[in-house]
Amino acid sequence: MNPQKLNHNTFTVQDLDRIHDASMEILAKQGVIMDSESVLDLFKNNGFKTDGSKVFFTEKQVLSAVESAPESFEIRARNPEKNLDLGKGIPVFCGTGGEIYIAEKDMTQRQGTMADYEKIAKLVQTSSINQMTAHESVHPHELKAATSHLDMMLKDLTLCDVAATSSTQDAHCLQDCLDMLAIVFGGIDELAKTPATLGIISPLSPLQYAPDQADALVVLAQNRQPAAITNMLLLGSSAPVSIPGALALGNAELLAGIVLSQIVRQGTPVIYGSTSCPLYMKNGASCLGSPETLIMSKGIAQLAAYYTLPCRTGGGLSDAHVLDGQAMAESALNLNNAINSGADYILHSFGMLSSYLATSLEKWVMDEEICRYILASRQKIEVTPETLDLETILSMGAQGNYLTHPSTFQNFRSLFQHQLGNRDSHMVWSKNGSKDIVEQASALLEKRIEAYEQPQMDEGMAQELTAWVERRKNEINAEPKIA
Amino acid sequence: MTDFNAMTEALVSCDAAKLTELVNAALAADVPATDILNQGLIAGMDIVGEKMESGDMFIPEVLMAAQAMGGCVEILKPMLGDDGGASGASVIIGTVKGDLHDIGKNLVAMMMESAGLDVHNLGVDIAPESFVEEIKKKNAQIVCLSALLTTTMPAMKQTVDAIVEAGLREQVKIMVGGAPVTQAFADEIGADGFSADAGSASKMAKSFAN
Repeated sequence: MNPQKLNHNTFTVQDLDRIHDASMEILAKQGVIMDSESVLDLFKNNGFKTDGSKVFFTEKQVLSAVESAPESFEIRARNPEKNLDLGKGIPVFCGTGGEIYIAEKDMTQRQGTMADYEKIAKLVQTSSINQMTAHESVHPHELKAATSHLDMMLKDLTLCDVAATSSTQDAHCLQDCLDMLAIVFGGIDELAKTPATLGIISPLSPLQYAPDQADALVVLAQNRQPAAITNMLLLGSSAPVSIPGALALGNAELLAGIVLSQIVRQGTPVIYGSTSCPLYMKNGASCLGSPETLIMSKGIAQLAAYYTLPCRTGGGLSDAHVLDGQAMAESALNLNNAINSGADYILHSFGMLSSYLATSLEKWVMDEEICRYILASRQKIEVTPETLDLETILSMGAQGNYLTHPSTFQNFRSLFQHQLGNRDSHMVWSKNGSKDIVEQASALLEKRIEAYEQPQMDEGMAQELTAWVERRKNEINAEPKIA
Repeated sequence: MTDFNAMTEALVSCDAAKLTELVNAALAADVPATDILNQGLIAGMDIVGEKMESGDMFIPEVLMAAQAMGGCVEILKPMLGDDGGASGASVIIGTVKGDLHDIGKNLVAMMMESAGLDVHNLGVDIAPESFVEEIKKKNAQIVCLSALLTTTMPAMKQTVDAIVEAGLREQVKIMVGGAPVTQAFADEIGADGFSADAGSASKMAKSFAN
């Protein structure tokens, strides 16, 4: 046995110590820009050193914040059977979030609509996978930008009964989502008792939090709702090319956000995350389909474990525009890497194409299949007298046929059940219409959408939500336009 | 006879020291600064642009070349006259309101500068009225709007609308770019051009300027 081969961790504890120390030096010497007056005041009032909009951190301040953030937490769903545990070893999945185009199976792309959004909500609701809605699975372009978060949240809460992600476009959009969740979960105070959503907070790398994001993080913490603080470093533009350097820089940014969450409210649940990748040096685009993306993900997962915090990384990530070999290879590698690195929350798990810009419904169900596959491959195998079942092997001996043995009859359904993919001979496959996996996925998603049943919601609650959204829309529309 | 090819080669190989030496030598030999700029530096950057487009040069190399050229333009500036020897086209570039991303936009600005355009980089989070004001101030012929966030794309349309309302639409060509932006979006909001990367953006701006 070679213990070296059994150690699949990319970084040693000593490596992580060095990265941590480097991050501490960055936070002490360079600091992080917090572009929000009220956030700067919070830091000042809590004894942090500041210089202009820069905040500096000591190791003690950072470690105390890391300590007070929980190792795991629960997110409530409208259907309590679908409540989610984050940080307990089973990843929570989320499909695309923030994409603007729909990638059609004929290889074209078009702007997303509310009809697409509803279809995706139905896919979420009919999935067997542990997941929550992502907010903005695709942007419905026909809606008014200023109020579209209300329409999307209303659909998430009424078409699905899984946990819902909130908009963190800015503090106001987030507050609107929390007010809607308060209607569902018995008031804003009740909401704070056990989280019922999460929000994605993105630093502006390198070493900066834009005002909208810093303010939204404060609102999440005030309401004790989880913040998935996640950066997307581009190695070679917003971070150094060197992976250890990029991890140290990214870690510093994330820790600064975690400190903010804890000074607002100790014990606020946070998710430590990053989906970083190299810059493609021929055109300046992000390059998710890179081995460095996988190493960065592993590093982030290890750093999250180092700080005993839940981790977000990875996804069904690809730079491809169509459902081709590139799309599925990059997605499968990224998903496999994230799940096996111990990610607790995986956004963009399903449907993502074009480097976060497009959603494909066919890919959605294909990615779900990949996730089911990876999860099944990680099942814990117990080696016991029962699972060895030597009696059967000895009784069958050489030349035996297990197909007709009762143990096969009893156990074969525990094997992975494929929903997609070909297992027929070429002749049979041709005779059945030569359907490739995209066509199979297309048929499966239509079947699921047809089988969809809207989850029950108390009529009074549904009316209250709709009325609230209407009232809020009127208020927003009456506000003077911000140039 | 000045060897402009040597300057071009120094530029393409990102050798700032060599390029500076060649430019100084040419000036000492009384070669007109405009010739050095046009036949040596801008011609060299044209080749850099082509090499970037064909995938033979990578962005960090292009930027090193652009910086080498920028250093030499500074040397030439006092001898170039009022218009700085540039093609004269005044370009305004900025990231639209609500968006703080500037890496891609700065890359475009640098490529345009090295193509000899008179670039005014306004920075990030620029409100429509600020674009309008700067167009008037800088007498801009080209306006470049950048956005990385899908949520700030509507600010591009607001900026185009503000330019129309200010009665400046005829004066300027409007170009848009950024990861989520497409030709269809550019058409929809009434922009004149869209380019997918910095090299082609610079080329397009030059074609608008001519």
